[in-house]
Amino acid sequence: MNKYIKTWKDIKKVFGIKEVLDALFGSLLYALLVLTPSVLIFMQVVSMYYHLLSLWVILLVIVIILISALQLKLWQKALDLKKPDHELPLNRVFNLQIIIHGIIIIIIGLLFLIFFIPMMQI
Amino acid sequence: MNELNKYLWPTVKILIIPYLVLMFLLLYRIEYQITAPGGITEVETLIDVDYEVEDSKGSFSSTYVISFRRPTFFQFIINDFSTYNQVIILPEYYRHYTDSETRQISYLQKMTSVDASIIVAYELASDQNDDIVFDESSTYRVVLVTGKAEDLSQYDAIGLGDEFISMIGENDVVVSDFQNLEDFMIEGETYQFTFENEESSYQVSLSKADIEDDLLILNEYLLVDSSEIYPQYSEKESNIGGPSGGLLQTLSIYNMLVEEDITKGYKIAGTGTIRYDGTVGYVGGIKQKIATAYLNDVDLFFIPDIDERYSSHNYLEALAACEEFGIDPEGWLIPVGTVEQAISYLEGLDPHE
Repeated sequence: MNKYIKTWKDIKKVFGIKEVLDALFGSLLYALLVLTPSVLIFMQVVSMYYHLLSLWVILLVIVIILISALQLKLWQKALDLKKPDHELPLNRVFNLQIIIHGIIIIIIGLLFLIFFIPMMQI
Repeated sequence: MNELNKYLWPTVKILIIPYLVLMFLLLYRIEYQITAPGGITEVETLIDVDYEVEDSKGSFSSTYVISFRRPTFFQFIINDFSTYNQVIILPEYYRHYTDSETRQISYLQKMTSVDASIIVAYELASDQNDDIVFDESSTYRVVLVTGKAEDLSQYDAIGLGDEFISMIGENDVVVSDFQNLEDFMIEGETYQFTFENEESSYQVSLSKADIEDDLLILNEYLLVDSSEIYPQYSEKESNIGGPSGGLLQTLSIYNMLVEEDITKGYKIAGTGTIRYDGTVGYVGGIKQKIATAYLNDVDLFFIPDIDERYSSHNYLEALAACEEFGIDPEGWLIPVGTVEQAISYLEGLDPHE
């Protein structure tokens, strides 16, 4: 964990906060372009095939994890493109970030499956 | 960001047209209505009667379908992949309603159907259980706005669900019986109507044409005065609207008021509106409701029996749906004309193993 935090501090030092945020906004923009139709598709498929709701929630969790991974990889790529000769272990940090995001998304998905959806069906 | 733009531009260039086409399919809405299977809701989770009786071993569930107006092109296309869904052209009389108005109508139907279920169930149960207090003073009549045509002169002023109080007709006669309104109006004149909602009462001027041409749809309902009944009941907020849960609501409430558990351990679902005299009315979305019940493994399903006043029959539609989905209707699909018939049927069943 300390190594992870230290790498983030190094990223800030090497690229500067402005460049890190610039790369983040770029990755968020492109991820949003993928996320928007994905969410619309899921909303519309769910309304048509509501009896398979649990299946759709599971698939949605997988898709959100993939889009989150895409956003993080684009963020990493944007940083790589800004300074191609840096020697920071970006891959390791962003892979760990993908796992953390994945776990959070899975927990939210499980909360929906176990608590919120049964409550909504009253 | 510029570096990323440059890096991704070749991919964006290729995908931009398909992306715009996809977004068009996902956002452009067309004048159709799609009905799809929904789910079942145990009535006990919605209505609770504060009275101690034997715990129910089975359950009564109302069946709901998902019905949505103006689907997108994308929904219209994927609808073809379902054997359960049904698509129709949006009825003309329904087109002008906004989504919010449709929801209001649906919740109004639900609210009045729960009151009808309470009335029928308490009346029936009071014959079996002397503890129950329910008589003529337990209900009151209201006339509610249940629909508005697009051409109604005061469309925005009158709210769906608002209560009609009175009209000042010709020669300043105050008319509160909504069925006699036309008798006190003359062509070309406007008259002051009084309506009331939860916030206030208000007046609007309507002409004879508004009433004569059914541009304003008023219906009379009986509502329950909960201070005049025993036992008390409570109703939870629900996302599900419409009147089709009436029969199952009535059966479930009745079961909460009598000693014997009429579920006999069965998982019971069904559909059908309930009238104040205990008769069961027709509903829509039969095929999707049968599919919903089938997908939820219910033990038996009540359906409105054939009623010669209608041209197409819920029971026959249900039989056709059972055949299509490979369900044996014998002992599973139970046609009933009244709530008493449903109770008699359940009383004649052996307990579930």
